[in-house]
Amino acid sequence: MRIIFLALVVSCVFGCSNNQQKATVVAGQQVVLEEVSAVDVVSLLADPEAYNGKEVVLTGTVVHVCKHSGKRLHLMGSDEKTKIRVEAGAIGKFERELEGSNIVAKGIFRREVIDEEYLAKWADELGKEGEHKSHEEQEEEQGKIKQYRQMMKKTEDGRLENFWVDGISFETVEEDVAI
Amino acid sequence: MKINWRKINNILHRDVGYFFVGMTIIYSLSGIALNHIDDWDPNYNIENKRIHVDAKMLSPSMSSAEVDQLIDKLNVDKKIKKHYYPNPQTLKVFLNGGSLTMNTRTGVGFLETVDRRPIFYEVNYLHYNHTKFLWTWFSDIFAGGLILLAITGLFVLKGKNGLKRRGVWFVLVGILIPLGFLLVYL
Repeated sequence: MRIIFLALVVSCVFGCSNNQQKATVVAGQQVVLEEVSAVDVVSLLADPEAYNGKEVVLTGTVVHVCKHSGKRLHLMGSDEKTKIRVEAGAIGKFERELEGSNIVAKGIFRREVIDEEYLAKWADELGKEGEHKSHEEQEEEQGKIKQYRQMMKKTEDGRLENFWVDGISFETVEEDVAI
Repeated sequence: MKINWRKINNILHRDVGYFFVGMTIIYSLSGIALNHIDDWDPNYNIENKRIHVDAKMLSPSMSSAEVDQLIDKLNVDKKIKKHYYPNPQTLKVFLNGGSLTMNTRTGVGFLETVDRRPIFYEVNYLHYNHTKFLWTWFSDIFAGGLILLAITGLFVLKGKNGLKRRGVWFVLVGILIPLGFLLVYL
């Protein structure tokens, strides 16, 4: 009897947490996605202004999960070229096993324009608040500013656009989702 | 009637200690694992292997059946999830527990296998509080339990091994070590 009890406890402790993220996950709880029409990554980025700041339900294939933190993943659209970053946010963390899986993710679409004014403000803040950051952090941010400036030179309008989705929940699906 | 505070203290220390044995091991193990996060991946055992195949086996538009054959040829015992081409000369195959990246021109590639570390994956999962909800409460209670264990631990014994004689030196050193680190690094 004791052995059976111990086996039950052990299987619960390890078995329960061993489930892959198959079901919908939000902040660690099982929920059901609301019935909002899903949009492919390609369609979303074709008209970013229409979705800016709005809740979207996005479909695509996970091609990368941040290895260190699991705090973000890259979702690829149906054209196998267009990708967007999904931040874990309320979801907490993405498991590495998600790479190669098709998912339906719900979140808030964000669009950020990076221009010279944006970078000048960033550099100014870094100069003022730099003492609160380590030398490595300062160097990293300065490197990013420099990199963005170089990238901006190659664009026609001298600015860059950054897109991402702040994740709320997601669900893995077996097959490619037809839009 | 005189209340025997030491007896109550010792019973509390003993039973709270029994109750939180599992939690202490969970948080200690994951604490060690996460402390060395720069040196290893505490959740996954990752292996990378360089692979070379005849480039004729590869093309920039392989079907699922052809990719299946490639995986069989490489003796990879993992199921294929999906494949795609990040660029015309790179084939990426996602596997259940890893991925394969091949240069379709040269036939050179890398097989990455990713397997969960037994025990560590589970304890880290709990330590990171991915389950949220009730686990947040239970782990908060555990944290309170640790404080209770520390305080009641001070008063378990009296006499030459008690707090006032032998114990005080251990307590002082245990407090001075973290303070020393703060003084040096903060």
